[in-house]
Amino acid sequence: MTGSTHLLETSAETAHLFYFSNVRNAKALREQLLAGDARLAYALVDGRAVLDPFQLLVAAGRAAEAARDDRLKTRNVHSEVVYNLAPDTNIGGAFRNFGVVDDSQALAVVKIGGQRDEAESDLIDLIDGTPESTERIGSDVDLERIRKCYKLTPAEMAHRTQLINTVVTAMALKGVTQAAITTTSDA
Amino acid sequence: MLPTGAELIYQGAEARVYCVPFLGRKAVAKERFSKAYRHPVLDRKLTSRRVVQEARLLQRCRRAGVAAPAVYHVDLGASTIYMEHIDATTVRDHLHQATLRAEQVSLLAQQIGQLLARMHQADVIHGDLTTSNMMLRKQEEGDQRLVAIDFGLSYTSTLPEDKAVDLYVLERAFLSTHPNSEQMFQEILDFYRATGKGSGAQQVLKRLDEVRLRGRKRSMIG
Ligand SMILES: Nc1ncnc2c1ncn2[C@@H]1O[C@H](COP(=O)(O)OP(=O)(O)O)[C@@H](O)[C@H]1O
Ligand SMILES: [Mg+2]
Repeated sequence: MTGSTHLLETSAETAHLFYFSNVRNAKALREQLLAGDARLAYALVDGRAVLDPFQLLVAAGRAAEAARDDRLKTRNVHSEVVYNLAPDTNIGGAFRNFGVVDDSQALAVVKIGGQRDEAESDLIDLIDGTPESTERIGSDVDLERIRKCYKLTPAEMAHRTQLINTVVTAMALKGVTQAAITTTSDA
Repeated sequence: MLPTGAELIYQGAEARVYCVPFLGRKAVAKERFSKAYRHPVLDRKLTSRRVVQEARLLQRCRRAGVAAPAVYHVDLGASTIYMEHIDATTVRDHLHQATLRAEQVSLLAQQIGQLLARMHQADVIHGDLTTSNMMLRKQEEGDQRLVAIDFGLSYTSTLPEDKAVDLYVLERAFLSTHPNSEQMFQEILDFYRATGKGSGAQQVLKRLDEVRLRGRKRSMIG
């Protein structure tokens, strides 16, 4: 198995990525997460909702910043990664659409901080599935699901070279709201 | 916190633009800084508002089919937008460097006219249209070549007057930066009219005539 390690430049934290296929214990994993099992200090993301590793890293980068500044919107930095994948502030929806669910068969895993080797052997213990190279991240994507989750227009879907950028833009603008300087009435 | 390895590529009056490594990609970080003469609290409010506005309008443009840099991350605390690095030259440099044939000029005019029409259809007023704020991407498969950047002064409006002033600003910038470009600018407006047909482009161009007249009167007085 080959995880990969990435620098999250804006917080100087580190993120490790892993990927599993043929996962058979998704339901148990989800229940463990719900119960707040401390051993599951990972973001478990449904492979169907992942287009590209960059999507995971952007979510991780933002989560690490929020943890550093003590302004997490969810329980911990790893649940925050899942939350950050969603384009809106609905926490339950984010977990349903992006997190591990009972019928998840492919899982992308994000670990912030710690040693990759340790996380890797721990995950092989926890997840009943086939460890894959992180090169495979994105290969199980369900584009219809991406379209729905990010509310993409037909033109945005058609523009494949920009699709990952469009997705990340939707994520980046989540919660970035403030009274806009707007003129609307026509005289 | 700006990534180590950030390389300053542009220092403006309100913002610094850096090339930065970002999660395995090359990105651009645009950082707005404070104005010393403003009250600190007010200043932070205004700066933060402009950052939000710029990021939102980048997305609004992309949604409307106007090519603009993707937003990777907004760090409101640091007043910084991390965005897609556009591998491109500005239209300004392109027009200055290249000896362009007439049909190439027409093609560029077409792209500019179409982009502006689509942007105005989406009610985005750029606020600072110059040939430095439009970039020509080194062509990639399926990507639009012309990319609008710098939405730092942008806002939304449905008013033909605001759209006309937007075009007027570009006209002034065009004619002063690129001598003998009257014909090219007229072509831009022709494509603007053709693309924005049925969505108010006609009205905007009529308004542009009035804006020009006002501008001329003002310069005669001043
Ligand atoms: N996304 C980008 N990709 C590549 N270059 C960029 C990008 N954004 C800005 N630049 C470069 O930086 C310059 C200044 O950026 P701009 O957003 O126009 O700042 P300002 O608001 O200070 O004018 C641009 O003219 C361009 O050369
Ligand atoms: Mg500029």
